[in-house]
Amino acid sequence: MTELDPLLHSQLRLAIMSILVNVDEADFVYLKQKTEATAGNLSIQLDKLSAANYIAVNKSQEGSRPRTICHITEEGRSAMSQYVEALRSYLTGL
Amino acid sequence: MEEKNINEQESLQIIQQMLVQTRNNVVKGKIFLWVGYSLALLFAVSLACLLIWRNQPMSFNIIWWLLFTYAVVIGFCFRVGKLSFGSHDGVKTYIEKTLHTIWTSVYAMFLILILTMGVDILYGDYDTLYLNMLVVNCCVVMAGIATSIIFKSKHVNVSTFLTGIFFSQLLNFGTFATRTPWRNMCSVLVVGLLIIIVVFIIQGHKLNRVAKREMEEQNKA
Repeated sequence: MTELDPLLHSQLRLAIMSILVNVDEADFVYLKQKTEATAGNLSIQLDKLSAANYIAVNKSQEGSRPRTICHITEEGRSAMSQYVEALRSYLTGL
Repeated sequence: MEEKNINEQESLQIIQQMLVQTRNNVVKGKIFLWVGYSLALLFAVSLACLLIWRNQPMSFNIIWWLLFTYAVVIGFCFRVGKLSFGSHDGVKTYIEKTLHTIWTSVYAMFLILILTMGVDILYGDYDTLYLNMLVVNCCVVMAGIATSIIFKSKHVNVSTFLTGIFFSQLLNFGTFATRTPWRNMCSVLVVGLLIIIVVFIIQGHKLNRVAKREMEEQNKA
């Protein structure tokens, strides 16, 4: 049986990836609102996903406000797909 | 939501919950097919008129003014459509990305066409028809830019410009390839039809297929 990716097998990181897999890009505020996470926690998890090259994070300045935009990478998409497949095999084995 | 390890059932619940929340952002090809088939019909009618009457200026005016009106109406429909797709300010959906690419291609194409005509007016034979084209194309470019601003699209990528250049060259080739005016217009309309098929119809079917596959995967999960 395929092992579940430990990086994705966490509540918040999985939620972030599930959102990003469905959209072209999403900003920090949108992710915070959808996941109902705290800004600090979300930021840490985004850094972890970015370090694994699952997502790309672009930080820019919009007027006087900083804006963080995230989008899923091909590597992230493939990891997510494998995770869902592994999950499916686990659940069908139950 | 916190950072904590979960079991398989919880994983599935989170994926489902997030999918439902972003369901409205899932790509939809329906709007592309509407635009594609109606534009193709518009071009086909103009082509038929041209082939029957062989009156180039009349057909030319019909197609360009109809296109301009169409661009404004469609721009408005996309704006309304965007609201019904449930898009959020902080998220850019696949449909918005594709629409942006299409509009950038369209106005890149017209921009190059205008430059070509400008050069022709300055250094070629002066023709009032080209002057008309210049004015109408300026309007279409402005409509394209306005739509792009509505969609807050700021990025222009290389592939978009290459697509625009490729189609504009095809269009230019079609315009100047033959010496008979009504035949010139015929080739322009045929190239236009080709563009519509590639940009809207094929793209629309592709998006529908992706959306259908995603929905199937979601249902399986």
